[in-house]
Amino acid sequence: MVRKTLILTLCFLSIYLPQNLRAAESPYSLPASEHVEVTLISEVISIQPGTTFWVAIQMQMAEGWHTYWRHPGDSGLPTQVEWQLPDGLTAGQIEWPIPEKFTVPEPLITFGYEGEIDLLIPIKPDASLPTGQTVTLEGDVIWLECREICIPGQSHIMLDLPVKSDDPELDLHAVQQLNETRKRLPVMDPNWRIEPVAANEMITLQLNSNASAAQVPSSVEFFPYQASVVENTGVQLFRKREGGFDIDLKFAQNRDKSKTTLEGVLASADPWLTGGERALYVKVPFEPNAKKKSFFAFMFNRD
Amino acid sequence: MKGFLNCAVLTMITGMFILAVSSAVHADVTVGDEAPDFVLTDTYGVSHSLSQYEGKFVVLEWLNHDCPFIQKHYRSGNMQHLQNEYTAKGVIWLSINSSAPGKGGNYPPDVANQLSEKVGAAPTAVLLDPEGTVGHLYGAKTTPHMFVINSKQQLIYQGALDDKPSTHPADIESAHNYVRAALDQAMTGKKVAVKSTPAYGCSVKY
Repeated sequence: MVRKTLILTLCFLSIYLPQNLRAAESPYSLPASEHVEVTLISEVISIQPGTTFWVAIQMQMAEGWHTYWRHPGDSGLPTQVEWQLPDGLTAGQIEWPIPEKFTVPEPLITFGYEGEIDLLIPIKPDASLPTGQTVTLEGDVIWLECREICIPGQSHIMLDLPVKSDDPELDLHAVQQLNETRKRLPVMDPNWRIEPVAANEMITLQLNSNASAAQVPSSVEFFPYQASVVENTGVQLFRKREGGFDIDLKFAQNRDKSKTTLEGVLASADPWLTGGERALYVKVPFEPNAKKKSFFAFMFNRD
Repeated sequence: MKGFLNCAVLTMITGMFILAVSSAVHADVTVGDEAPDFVLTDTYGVSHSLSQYEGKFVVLEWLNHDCPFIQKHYRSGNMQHLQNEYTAKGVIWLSINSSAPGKGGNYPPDVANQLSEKVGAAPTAVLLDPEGTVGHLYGAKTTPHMFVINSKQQLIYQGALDDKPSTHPADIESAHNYVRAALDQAMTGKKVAVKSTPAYGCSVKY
């Protein structure tokens, strides 16, 4: 009996001991970020004044770790780049590939990347940029890496590129790699019409193809660009029909009613779009429908 | 041998319990509605219910000292400053820890008290919610995730602490603090201008 109690006590302690040990460390000494490797790569090895070129922030996450998409979902932070570019160079916005969806811990939903990801960014050199010099692209990449815990990470990136009057010289290996990533970028597709219908707690996106032989995807998922319109967690009901499909999205519980535009990405595993792409960029204004009042509320509510 | 078997069974049962709780129904609250009542025990073993504070303003702050977003607001003194300022004005400030056993930020009560002391935290109480019941009841998503409740026990604000989603303490100075704004407006009889924002931070470790 004594032995049994002892073993159970040990067992109980084993549940609590790790926390005690952890507490011995200061809660405010963060572990260093060592789970993400960041490299700046460029599609060109020389640049030409006036000709926009593409670079990519290549992020390699250690197994089990992830970083975040432009809208991180219920928690997390999007990766950011703070450029320190020389005069005459201007960086555009990050082009974000379709993210993965993480559902741990329940019931939270976050959007981000595991493994390796390239964040594409266009850089525009002024037409007046002097040739015969080398410019340095420089900046800081700031991210949040999470597994069970989250750690903020930061890395300085740097790349030298000569400025020539000739056409930009391509790095074919980098071009190939960026082209792979481009397949995962959302596109606009005039062959698909998007009709939003808002009703009570839901907004339905009705998609119809103009093409005679439309490829209707077997399923799609909507990734919202903002938190305050539709739920990240809401069940998305998908209905396929002839020439198109409907998808029901649940409005966010505490949605910002001043926002009447839904923006995001409809992504599928199938190459359903005109150019064989998988993700459609969506930006549609909708008519917000007032909450349906019950009969009695209608009779007695004077608001 | 039998003892180890017992241990394995106990661990399994604990594991199943955690699983069962983590799939509990997810019920969010809407701003303007009555704030749902709950009862939780604080780190000193004292029981607190929301309803016992009727007549006072109440702030709920979801807490996890292992989270860099929480550290941003405690390292800078921002959170403690708010706690001191508003509890002095009669506000009840409840920090709630919904980290599950074995997950980040779940500490036994005495260690939690040492942490509070170390950072100079000044809430009315730190409440323990290891099953995540109250976290799920309110739909708490992040640490921090803030809820402001008025004296009639209605939810008047939910969301982020401020408008600068980052882990940098330097961002606090220029940030607009939504909780301060909601409390100041509601406590002087004004309408709360911003009632709901997307919370930012680490996920609550349910």
